[in-house]
Amino acid sequence: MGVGEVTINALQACVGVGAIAYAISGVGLNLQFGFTGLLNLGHAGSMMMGAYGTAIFVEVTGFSDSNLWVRLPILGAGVLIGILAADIMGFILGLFTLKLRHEYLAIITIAFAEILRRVIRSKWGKENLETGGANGIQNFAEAFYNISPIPPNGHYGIGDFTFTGRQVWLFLWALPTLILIILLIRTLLNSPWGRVIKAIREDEEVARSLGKNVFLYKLQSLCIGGTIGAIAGILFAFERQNVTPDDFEPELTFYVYTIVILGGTSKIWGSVVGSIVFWFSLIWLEGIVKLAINENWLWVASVLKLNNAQGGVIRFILVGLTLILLLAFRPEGILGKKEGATANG
Amino acid sequence: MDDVFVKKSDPILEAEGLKKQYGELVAVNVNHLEIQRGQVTAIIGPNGAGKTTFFNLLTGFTRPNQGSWVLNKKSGGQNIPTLIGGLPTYQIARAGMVRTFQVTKTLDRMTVMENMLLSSQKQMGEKMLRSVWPNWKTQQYLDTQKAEELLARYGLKEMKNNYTSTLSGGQRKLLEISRALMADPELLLLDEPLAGVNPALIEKILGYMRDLANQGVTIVFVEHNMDAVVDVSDWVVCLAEGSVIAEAEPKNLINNQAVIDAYLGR
Repeated sequence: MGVGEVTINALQACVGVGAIAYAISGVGLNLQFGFTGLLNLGHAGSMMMGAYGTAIFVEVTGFSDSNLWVRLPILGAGVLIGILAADIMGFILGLFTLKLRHEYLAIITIAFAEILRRVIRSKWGKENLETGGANGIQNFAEAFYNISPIPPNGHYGIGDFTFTGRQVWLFLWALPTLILIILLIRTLLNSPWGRVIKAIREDEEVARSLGKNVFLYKLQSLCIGGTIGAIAGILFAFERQNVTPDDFEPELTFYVYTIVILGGTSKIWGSVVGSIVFWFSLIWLEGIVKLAINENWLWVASVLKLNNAQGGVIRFILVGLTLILLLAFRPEGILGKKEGATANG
Repeated sequence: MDDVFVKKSDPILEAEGLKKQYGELVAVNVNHLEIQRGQVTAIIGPNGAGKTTFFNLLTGFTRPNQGSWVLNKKSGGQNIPTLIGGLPTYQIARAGMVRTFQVTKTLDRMTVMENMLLSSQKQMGEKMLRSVWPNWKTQQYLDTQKAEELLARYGLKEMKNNYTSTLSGGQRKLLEISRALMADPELLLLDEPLAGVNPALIEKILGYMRDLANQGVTIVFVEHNMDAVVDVSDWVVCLAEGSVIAEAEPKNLINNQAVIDAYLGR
């Protein structure tokens, strides 16, 4: 494996369904964090509710039915139920936390998401909620791939830059979903509704003093963001045909934050740019570090004694470093404007 | 105390037994106070007298321990809601009582025009589901024109597309007042509108306040600049240690012994 191959792998990752799912998730978080000023650290919880809502519903109803025309509507209903589950979670969480100050909201949301994850992972969850425990649920979206008109085992692309038929089929759904969500959120944010949302971010006392029901707007923002997070979680689960509780650890929320900040908070398209850059760097660094260890560049293997397992961690260190440098030197992100980020403009 | 109260002929606001305590400290303890409609009423008093807390109680930012206030008790057949203290802040604002803040609060990452448009009431585009379909644009167009008129009146028209973080201190004060007016308030509460403002601009703001009163807007304001208070107000209320110690026309009030002892200090 050489640098060229590593780069192609990274390019494939940054335009794949995983990157699209993260971008969608970023749009939802950006609405909450970048536009409304809600420091929601439980975003992974919304994604998890979406994925598990879908998977559990399919599992308990029509998993083993051999007829595609039974399984397909059940999968569709499962998707809606996953989104609804995330909405209900956002609503309940909002009712109890939105009157609190930022830091409390952050603590409670991260704790709430983690509690939910632990319940899903537990033996109790496995026995009573059909969550599958730590192993999760697999192959619940088979019906979706069964209706694909694209031969699943073919390879599509140029040279080494290829995708399987299954990937292309999901991509054809994921990309329009992303674009649709961005257009919808843009419409919302460019309307008077969006103006109130931004005013709440700037100073919620002003919004209240001018007759705006701040609590309601925050709740709406939390629920819309949660819905979008759920859609991202569902796409993510569809891609892998697998949901496990460990996919939704708190660090997932921080990856999405990285994407939002990378692209620029309060820039809707920023999440797309952020996701592409994030995935490219992550996969490219992984390949390069591995290459460096195998070929002993800069004596990393002989003198620093790095092995492949340690190499896998280094990319996250580098991503963290990039985020710190970005916040220090370009807090407005890649797409942002200077006025947006610094306090005094 | 508080038997100093004077009955008004046409009160827009009546506060009754309004009390706010922080532990042992009694921040506000107003037995009865009426605000006359269409007048400029000043609230004066030493620092810590409870002036801002009184504002916060009236606008719902702070909940009273006891007591209530009523807006438009005698609405004279007009369809104006009668309100009792303790409503959420946003409902008080919708009822026609809008405030400004002691430390100016502009929305920095928004433009001057966005600040203005935010304040317009009953915008259908502010409802989440209706905002998606752009038929709110007609209303927004009319609001924009109204905002431009207000901005022109207060000398901010050139800055309408600037971020408010680029405005000077005085311009921010003016923006806050014009933004409050955009909501068409019946009763405007200004918390230290002249603090940190240069003399020429003070004259201007006082002129604007008189104009507004002449147009029928009732103004209540907190201020320490006594020359300005005497100059612009029709009525002055003096608070000390949370209670009303005197209320009168300005020229009478400045000779009141209790006011001199508690506040003016000469």
